Amino acid sequence: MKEKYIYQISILVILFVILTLFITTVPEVFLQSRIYISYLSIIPFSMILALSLTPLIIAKEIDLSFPSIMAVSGYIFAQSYLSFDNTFIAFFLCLGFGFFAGLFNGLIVVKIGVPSIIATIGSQFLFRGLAMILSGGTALSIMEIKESFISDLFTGRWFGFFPAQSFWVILFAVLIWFILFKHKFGNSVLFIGDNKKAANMMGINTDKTRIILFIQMGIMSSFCAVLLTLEMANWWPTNGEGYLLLVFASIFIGGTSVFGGSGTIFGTFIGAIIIGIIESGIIAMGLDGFYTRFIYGVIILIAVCVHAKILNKGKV
Amino acid sequence: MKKIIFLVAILASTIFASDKIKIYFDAGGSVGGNYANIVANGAKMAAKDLGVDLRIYYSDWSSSKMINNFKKAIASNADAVAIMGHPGDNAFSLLVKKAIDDGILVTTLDTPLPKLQSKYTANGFGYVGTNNYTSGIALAKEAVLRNKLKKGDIAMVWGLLSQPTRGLRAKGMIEELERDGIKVNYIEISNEINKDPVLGASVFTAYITKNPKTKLILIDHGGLTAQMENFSKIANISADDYYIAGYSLSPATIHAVENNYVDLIGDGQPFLQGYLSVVQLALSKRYGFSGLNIDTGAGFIDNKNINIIAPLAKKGIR
Amino acid sequence: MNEILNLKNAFKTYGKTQVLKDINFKLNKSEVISLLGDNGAGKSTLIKCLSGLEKFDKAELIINEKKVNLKNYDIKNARDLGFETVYQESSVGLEQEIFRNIFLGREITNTFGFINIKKEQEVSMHLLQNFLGLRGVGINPNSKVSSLSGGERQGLAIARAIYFDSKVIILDEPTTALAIKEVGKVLNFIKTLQEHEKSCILITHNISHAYEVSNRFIILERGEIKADIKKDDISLIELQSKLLTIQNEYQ
Ligand SMILES: Nc1ncnc2c1ncn2[C@@H]1O[C@H](COP(=O)(O)OP(=O)(O)OP(=O)(O)O)[C@@H](O)[C@H]1O
Ligand SMILES: [Mg+2]
Repeated sequence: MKEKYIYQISILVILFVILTLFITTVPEVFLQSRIYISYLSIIPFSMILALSLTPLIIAKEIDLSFPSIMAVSGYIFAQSYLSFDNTFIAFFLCLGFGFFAGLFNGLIVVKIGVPSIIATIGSQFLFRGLAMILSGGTALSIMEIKESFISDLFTGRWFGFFPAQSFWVILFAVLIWFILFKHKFGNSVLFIGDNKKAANMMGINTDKTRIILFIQMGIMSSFCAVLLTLEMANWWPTNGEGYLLLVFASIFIGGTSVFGGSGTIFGTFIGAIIIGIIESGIIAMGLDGFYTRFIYGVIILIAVCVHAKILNKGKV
Repeated sequence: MKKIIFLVAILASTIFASDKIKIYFDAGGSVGGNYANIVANGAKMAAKDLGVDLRIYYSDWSSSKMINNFKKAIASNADAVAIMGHPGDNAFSLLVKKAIDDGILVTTLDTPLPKLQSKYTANGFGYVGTNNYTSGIALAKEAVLRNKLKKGDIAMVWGLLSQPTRGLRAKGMIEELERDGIKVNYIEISNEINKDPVLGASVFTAYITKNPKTKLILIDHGGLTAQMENFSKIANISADDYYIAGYSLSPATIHAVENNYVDLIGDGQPFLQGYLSVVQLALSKRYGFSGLNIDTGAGFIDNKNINIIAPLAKKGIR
Repeated sequence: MNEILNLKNAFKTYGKTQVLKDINFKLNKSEVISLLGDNGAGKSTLIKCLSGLEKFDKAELIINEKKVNLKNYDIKNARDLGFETVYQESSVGLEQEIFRNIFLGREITNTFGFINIKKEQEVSMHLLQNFLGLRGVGINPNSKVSSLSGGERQGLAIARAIYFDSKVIILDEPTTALAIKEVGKVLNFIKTLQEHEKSCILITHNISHAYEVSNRFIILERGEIKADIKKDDISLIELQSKLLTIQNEYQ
């Protein structure tokens, strides 16, 4: 119990240190609300993906295809909005694709038995290719969608300033936390990552649970694509590709173990914030953009070392 | 019966095809790429207009793929090949020599191959495209001129200096601005923002908040240019606060130009590169013309000519 | 209605190896059976199939005088029919808390499936103290199982099986990692089962333990039942030599 809180506290301390550094060195940027509004606008995208991927990592699975699922879903969303002029049809077609893409990954991993890292590298190409074939490579613009209800609901500016996507991501974080740590489904996930054989012996349907996890990832990737497409009022063939590193960095900075069986939603949440503010902080400090990667590296390594240290202490 | 029809169809197509000039064409990027798509559309239209048998291949902007695809094209008895010049003169010299010795015409687009061009102009080797470096200079010059910038003014350049050929455009911009005595703040586009432009919102906000006195913002990236309206809204700045110039027309960019969030677009007119390369090869093959050298990079778009251009962008022509 | 389980003509192969050949046996109420036999005889395989973790290739299984549909027979099914199994291999999640381990697969939940963690912790505490006697410092339902010793982990698996009040408890070598005192506890527990009209299948290589608690002995060798003997018909010494003879035949 105590050990668990040390994780959460250490990650919070890292965030606090970084923010303090930014505020003291460039107060003219970090004491203004504007920069925080921009964080609230864009951090939710990688955060939703990271939150959704965390249970998969805990179950010792991985999904590398989510960027490509996002590309296809975003295309389906934008194109069906243009074709049917109906945001709800577009929304459900889009999530429907996410469902089937996740199911597809899940079946290949669970029923055929291909390790998820390999299976999803394959499907990543498949989906990316699909996006290219469907779109013929041209970007889609859906400027008119900014006027729609769904745009207000998911990416509108509530009270004139608050980006709605932030609300949805917080809601999702709470929900996934409850499911992972308070619901019997989450219990199964934890045990599958810890000792799959034991989970089987205790009557957990490990196949079904893992397939559901992949489906969940597919649907949330699609949902993220909806948010992204609404925010940009635009779809690009490369959409999604930029999130791969950010999402994994968020999860591992947060303290979720690569070995499966344990993880933290709070950690992923804070991890995504840390990853989301670094680049702009570096730019504001007037440093060269080339430093961004270097500092990502430093922070990831510090975080991972701190976590490993705590982990080892707990194991004595 | 079906079989016979099938055989006749094959026979007919080979006979007719052999009449046509067979041109292999490198679209440069990937099947999906916006840019490669427009280049390919140009080539296709020329092929249709001239009755050319056109085979398009894609090289994902990889030099080794460009070379390999070229080798394959020579091997499959093409009449002419349009290549992308990215791999450079040295990488191509032996292959081009062999092709021309075998009577296959070669021309380059997008990136020039000066040595080969001077050697084989008489054999129909030409160039259609823009030069990254000069087009960077051109956009910066145009922006400074239209915006009446003075010595000591501040400009931001958001580009990809670290990429070998691509970076030349940002280099051109920076050098041109500095020649005019303008102070340049350069920001490198990170890999993530390069792929998912929306991630640039907080970087833009941070920069603008830190450097509110900036007058000119030059963006060497089509996707980011398209996001400038959105970024400006997120950073809570109005359309007239900064003079923003960038590249590449997309629907969102058109919208941003119409609403004054983006003030100037430099256009390399990729459709022309595809179209004119095919035209040149076909004419050289038929009538023995020598190679042409065409710069397509002088296109500028602002909110005065946007209404003509917008509908064409939707069709993958601009 | 004395007969709880009746297995007829059961077969099982792993790839090309025939692990179980035509197994027939019955288990009655309040009966403790010891399954004896050499390493690799097929004991664990038999109980894995009985508990629904693995599937027989062919068999007829009658539980509570009702024929079981073996196609759909799985662990949940077996549990519903009152079978509870402690496997030979570790069946705990080391990184998870003790209380989660105890209730894995049958959590105390509300109608929406959310776990009543407080309740689970209370019950676990009770179980830890009364069955395992774990009053050691730092051991509580929220400790990770990785902080328990090997024997404590095995004890936990047994406690878990006992808690759920089943009709038949199957124990596959439950005492191998335990200290003498803990072994005594497990054996005592098996003895008390009969008083509560419960049955038990015990697999062990320790014949004196088997003799101490069982009513019947089944000797399995190379996947076949070689002997099925009541305790009243045999002494410990005789049982030992019988086992040796059977095993030597195959050497
Ligand atoms: N999953 C499996 N795949 C292939 N063969 C197996 C598998 N499980 C068991 N076997 C084989 O089946 C035979 C019986 O194994 P089993 O585990 O039932 O023996 P056991 O009687 O429990 O032995 P022990 O006393 O050592 O636990 C062995 O020869 C073993 O190698
Ligand atoms: Mg065994």
